[in-house]
Amino acid sequence: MVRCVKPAGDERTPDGAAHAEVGPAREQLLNTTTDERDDAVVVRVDGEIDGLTAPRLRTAIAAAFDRLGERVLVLDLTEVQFLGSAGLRTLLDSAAEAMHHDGYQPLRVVVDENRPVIRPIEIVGLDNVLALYHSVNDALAS
Amino acid sequence: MPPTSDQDQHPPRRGQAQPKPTSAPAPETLDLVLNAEWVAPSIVRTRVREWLAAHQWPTAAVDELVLAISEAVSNSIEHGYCIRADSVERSTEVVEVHSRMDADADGFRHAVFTIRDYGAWRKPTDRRTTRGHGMLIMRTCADEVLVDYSESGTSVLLRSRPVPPTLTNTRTTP
Repeated sequence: MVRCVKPAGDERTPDGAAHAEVGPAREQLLNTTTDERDDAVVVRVDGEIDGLTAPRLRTAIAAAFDRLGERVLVLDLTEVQFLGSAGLRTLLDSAAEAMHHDGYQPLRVVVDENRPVIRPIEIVGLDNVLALYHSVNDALAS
Repeated sequence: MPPTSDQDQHPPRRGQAQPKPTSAPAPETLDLVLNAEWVAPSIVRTRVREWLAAHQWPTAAVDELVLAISEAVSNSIEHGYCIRADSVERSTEVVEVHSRMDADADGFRHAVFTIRDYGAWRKPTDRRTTRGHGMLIMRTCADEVLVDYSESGTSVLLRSRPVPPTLTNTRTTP
């Protein structure tokens, strides 16, 4: 029986108390970078999108929509290693937001052949709502 | 043509534990007890991936199973214990994950997981259909899903799709 009460890598202080290492774990699990271009804002996501990290993704996408203007938003999930229902919820909400911004165009999501991202999208039928692309260039050429 | 997921081969992804060749037998069971926090699903995913890799589980099957298990653990935290995503308090509640291997008479293998919490399941008041995604994912990714609700907690049993027996039973000597 293994007891995992903290993320791996946590250490106890000399007096035996445990650190509450919740903050660093979030950053280790998910990173977003936003690439500002003339024609688009590309939000690249690296890591795992679950209940812990989806709020940070939501914040990054909201910030991108705020700055969008007439440009297109592209979400690059090719480096995402896990996408659960919390992330799918974020994608669905972002797709609704994109409808308002982009003249009723579907949200452009780059997935390449990343099965851990494509499979959950297919399972819940989000592939009928999102516009999926193999590359950022493909998404921008559309 | 949009990409689809019918890929059996996938290059190794950054940041994921890769199965290492080992001469040690894979553990028959894996038992985890985690604090009910929003980091728990990621800990479970990592440990279950390692355990399945030790059993030479095919990559595509690992991904789907880990997805289902992560949903079950997330449900325990969100619905069993109602831990909010922005909570910073350490919870004293626990989620237990028990994993074991099962084999059919013809040697096909199933991984069987039991995810248990001791919270009072509260029906989600949010009526959006996205609330159902977790259950849909579990039922799609596993052969069998059994949910047992009681006043003392919730137990979810996930039985994987069958996986062929390992090609070799011989172990390399170091």
